[in-house]
Amino acid sequence: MSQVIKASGVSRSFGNVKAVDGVDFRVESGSIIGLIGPNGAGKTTLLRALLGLTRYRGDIDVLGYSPLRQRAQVMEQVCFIADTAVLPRWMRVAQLLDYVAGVHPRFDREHAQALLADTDVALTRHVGNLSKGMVVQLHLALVMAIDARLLILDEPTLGLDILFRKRFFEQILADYHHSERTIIISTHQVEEVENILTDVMFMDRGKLLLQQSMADIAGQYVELHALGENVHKARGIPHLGQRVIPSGVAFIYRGIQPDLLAPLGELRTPTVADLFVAILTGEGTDG
Amino acid sequence: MAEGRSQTYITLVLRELQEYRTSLCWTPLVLVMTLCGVLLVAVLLADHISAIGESVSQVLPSRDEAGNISIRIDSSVDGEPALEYRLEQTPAAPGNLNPGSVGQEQPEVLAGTLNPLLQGIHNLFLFILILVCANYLLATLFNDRRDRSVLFWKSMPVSEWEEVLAKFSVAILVTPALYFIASLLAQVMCLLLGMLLLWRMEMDPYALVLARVDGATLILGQLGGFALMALWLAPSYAWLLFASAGARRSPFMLAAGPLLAFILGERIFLGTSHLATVLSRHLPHYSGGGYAGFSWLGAADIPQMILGLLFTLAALAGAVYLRRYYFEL
Repeated sequence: MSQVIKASGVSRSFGNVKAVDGVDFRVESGSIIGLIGPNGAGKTTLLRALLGLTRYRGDIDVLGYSPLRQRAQVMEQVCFIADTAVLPRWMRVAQLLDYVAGVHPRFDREHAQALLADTDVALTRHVGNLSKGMVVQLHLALVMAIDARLLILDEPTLGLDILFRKRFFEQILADYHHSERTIIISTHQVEEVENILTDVMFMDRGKLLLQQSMADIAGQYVELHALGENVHKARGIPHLGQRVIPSGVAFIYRGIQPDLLAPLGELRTPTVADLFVAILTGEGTDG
Repeated sequence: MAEGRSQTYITLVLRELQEYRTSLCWTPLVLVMTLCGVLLVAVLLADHISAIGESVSQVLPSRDEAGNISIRIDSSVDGEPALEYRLEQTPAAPGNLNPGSVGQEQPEVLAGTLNPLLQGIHNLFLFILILVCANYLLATLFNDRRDRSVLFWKSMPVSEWEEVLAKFSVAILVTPALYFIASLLAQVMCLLLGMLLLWRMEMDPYALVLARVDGATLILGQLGGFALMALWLAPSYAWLLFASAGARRSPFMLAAGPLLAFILGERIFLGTSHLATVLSRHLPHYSGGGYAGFSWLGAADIPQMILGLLFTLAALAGAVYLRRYYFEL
């Protein structure tokens, strides 16, 4: 698989605040990456650096281009949906399609219209008159009609109800993603995207805490649900984090053979959210 | 590739015309319709206001008669400071008309006498054009940032230079072209309606209207005026675009505030007004016979114009930089 993004030593400061602090990572073609982090972790700044929307120090290569110097070329192969509705409200839907068709060589207008035909978004309507869900549908239709190699979604479903959110990610997975397309999703609603991710990146205070494939996470991390007196024994084993569950405690371990833990309780793969909290809070005893 | 770039440019310009269609497209049309409406009402009422008709028929010949009369003002007679007004009857030129021969005059003598009237209509369009363009330039980049649609525009494969130059060209080229067409339409409609008015008053429309218009001179002058205006106004327009790209709250304050501060500072601390003088050359002003206040280039103007164009490039580069990195409010 080819590498879509190569970033090394990427930093971005706003005054004394280091929004992104020396981040290194690689992204393989065809992966779906979840960029997870609390508010202010630097996710949006990092994504904007990838798109050339903000200055940065360090090196970023997106599909062979420098986002800072060759933003227009990057955007020919990269699609981007920002965290809030950013479509121009004064435009009619048809005008919006005309505009994208006029400036984007990889846009398929008929495909976009076909996608919109399945929604309530009429071509004659003003964007400003559409509901938030419809605006997201429209934006998604525009993006899905572009034959791009990289799709960057920055909190794309913020403020949408659960039905829209579910449909949004299902549509991306079913109709858009394939082995030549890479998707980076920044979101707080980790549980909703966890099942479609191939990789995760954890960020906090500008630093990259973890970048790992979901398969590696399943192989390296294990969650033990210890009950009764097993809680004390489990606590004695170096762990990443713990949380209270009914009648017991759940521990997350890294790099420990499941056979050793099996006598102490039920074993499972930790969810991305629980793993993130364990790593972020650092309340465990594992180095 | 070149076709793709021109397609992009056309799309960007169309987008501007769609977003600001009221000021850029509808305003000149409404102006044309208003002018034509007023004249049409005059034509329709012509029969009812015969007094106007009679006076027009008297005024037109008497204006031509005035060509035979010269007024001399002599302010020094025998060393005494005195004013003397004297009317002298000059010999009538051969072929000049008399009151009884309305419409029989030679066109070459009268050609162009209606040009100032048509230029007045054109100047009205110029005045509104400059107001509209200034308002457009202050708003265009700022509004994208205020409604956050800038993130959408920047998600398209369009460079900041393309965006800024498209917006600049809308103000310096596309809108003036639209207003020129509208102005031309208004002038033609006024002439036609004037001819209709005279025809209803049983006068010769050709001799009284068409023969008095020097169309070629008028149109060339107006087109040249647009070119001149573009060259002189370019620095001001680029500065407004820069203010639109950089303003946090009010683009107008950013555009006007620093300039006023510098002008006042220069006047207070240095006692000079060089900046104000330079600036005044790049702002529309009334200077008599010029177009939108700009007179034709003299050799002394060229260095200042070149400096102005260099400033234009710098201001546009600044707007591009701000658009690229400081687009969020």
